[in-house]
Amino acid sequence: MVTTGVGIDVVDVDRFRLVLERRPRILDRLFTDAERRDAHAQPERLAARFAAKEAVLKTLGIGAGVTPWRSIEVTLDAAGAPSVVLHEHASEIAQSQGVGHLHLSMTHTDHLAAAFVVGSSKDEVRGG
Amino acid sequence: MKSVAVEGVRRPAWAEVSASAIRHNVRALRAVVGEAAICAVVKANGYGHGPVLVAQAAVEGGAASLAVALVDEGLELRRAGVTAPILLLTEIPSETIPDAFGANLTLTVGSLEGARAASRWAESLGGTHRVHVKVDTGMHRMGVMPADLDQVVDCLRASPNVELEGLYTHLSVADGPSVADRAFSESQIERFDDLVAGLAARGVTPAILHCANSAGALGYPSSRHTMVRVGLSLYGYLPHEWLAGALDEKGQHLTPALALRAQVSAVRRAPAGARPSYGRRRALARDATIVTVPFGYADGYPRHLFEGGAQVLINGKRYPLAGMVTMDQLVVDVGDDDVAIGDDVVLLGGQGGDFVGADEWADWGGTITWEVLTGLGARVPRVLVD
Repeated sequence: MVTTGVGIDVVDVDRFRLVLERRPRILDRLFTDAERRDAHAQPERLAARFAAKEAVLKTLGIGAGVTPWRSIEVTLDAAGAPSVVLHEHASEIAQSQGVGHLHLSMTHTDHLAAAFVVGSSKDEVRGG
Repeated sequence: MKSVAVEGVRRPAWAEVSASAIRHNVRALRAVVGEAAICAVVKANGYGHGPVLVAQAAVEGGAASLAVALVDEGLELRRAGVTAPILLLTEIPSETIPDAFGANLTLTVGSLEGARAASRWAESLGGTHRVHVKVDTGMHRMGVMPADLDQVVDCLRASPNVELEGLYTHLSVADGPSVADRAFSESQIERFDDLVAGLAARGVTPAILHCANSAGALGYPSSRHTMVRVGLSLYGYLPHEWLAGALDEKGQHLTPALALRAQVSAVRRAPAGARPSYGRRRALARDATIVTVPFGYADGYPRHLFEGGAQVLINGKRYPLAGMVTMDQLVVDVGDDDVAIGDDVVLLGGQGGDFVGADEWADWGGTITWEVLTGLGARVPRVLVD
């Protein structure tokens, strides 16, 4: 397994909160139903998930608008550990780059949310 | 010869532009698009109608703003006293930005270089200057590529003298009725909405968001956002028949705003077998009266419309052209009908219950309504009616 790319992003939670109040409809465009459920409508958790999506774009070396926000999904396992699941176009892009897995870490305070992503190649590439 | 019927017009051929039709069309479109503001597109000489009178009528009808392609087009409107916001739809040369900002024209930024130039000039001029960023969602003609949008926006926001007022894109097949065209248009709108949401998440929320041209405004409610840019429909024509539904639903219709009128300037009897005009293209099947209309390709009557089966209205009846259109005149075969010098001719518009539309010209000429209207010659007098 080799590293294919890294990405990091921070989001200003206060500004994010304000936008969600003023334009609540962007929630539907940015997040899947499951993500909204996991975040319990808390702006700092939503902000961290948005940072994760931006970090994924950076890891893949593509810009916003290349693939829908909802095609990059942050999921939680039973223990609450986050991971990234790609759908549709995002999944195709990752596949074409030989990216097998995206490792995600998120954090937030009341004012700042951050995410860090590492892309790695598929397991079969490992070794020689 | 009969005197020309219109005061101040020294040739017996002129265009009548109806301000009430423009006002009516704006109202009809407002009824369809609801909350979205109307931006009246008056570039290319107001689609051939005359930009100043169209701009004034559109604003009277309720258009919130205007759009043009070139700085000079914007300056012409300002000189005429038009005060409504005017958006420049193309990215203009850097050295002309002071002229644009100086006349309170709203700039389009479609590249990082453009953003830098806009910021630089705004700062050196002082004050606040409005900018709309255009993003390329699939037209691939101009605009910021989505991957570069954040950088462009950051550049503009870093300048205290730039107001990032708008974000927009352009639909490339919104008039297309096919499943593939519709899917592509939907994908462009989706992509735009994703970019808007991504910027909003960063706290960037331009007040004016616009995707829709006439076809978008009528065919894609999701493209209307806060403003629609209407060009062809403002002048009374549909980009495609399938778009009539949105107007029908609201009990609305569009009215063509321009008529081309002329008076017969010469009449002669020609024998069967005669071949009128340049090239001697078609022989008369029988003896016929040939009348001359003083309007030619230099006035915007495409030369090849003759071969496409073009017709004109004289005294309420349709007649075919008798030969090739020439630079200043065209010839019409009126058969054995009684037509005299000075009789009224309608090249475009209605007469006696019949109507010749610019879309019909486009069919005859193998072109599009937009090209017909914008191709009307500068030397054709524009006369404002009602």
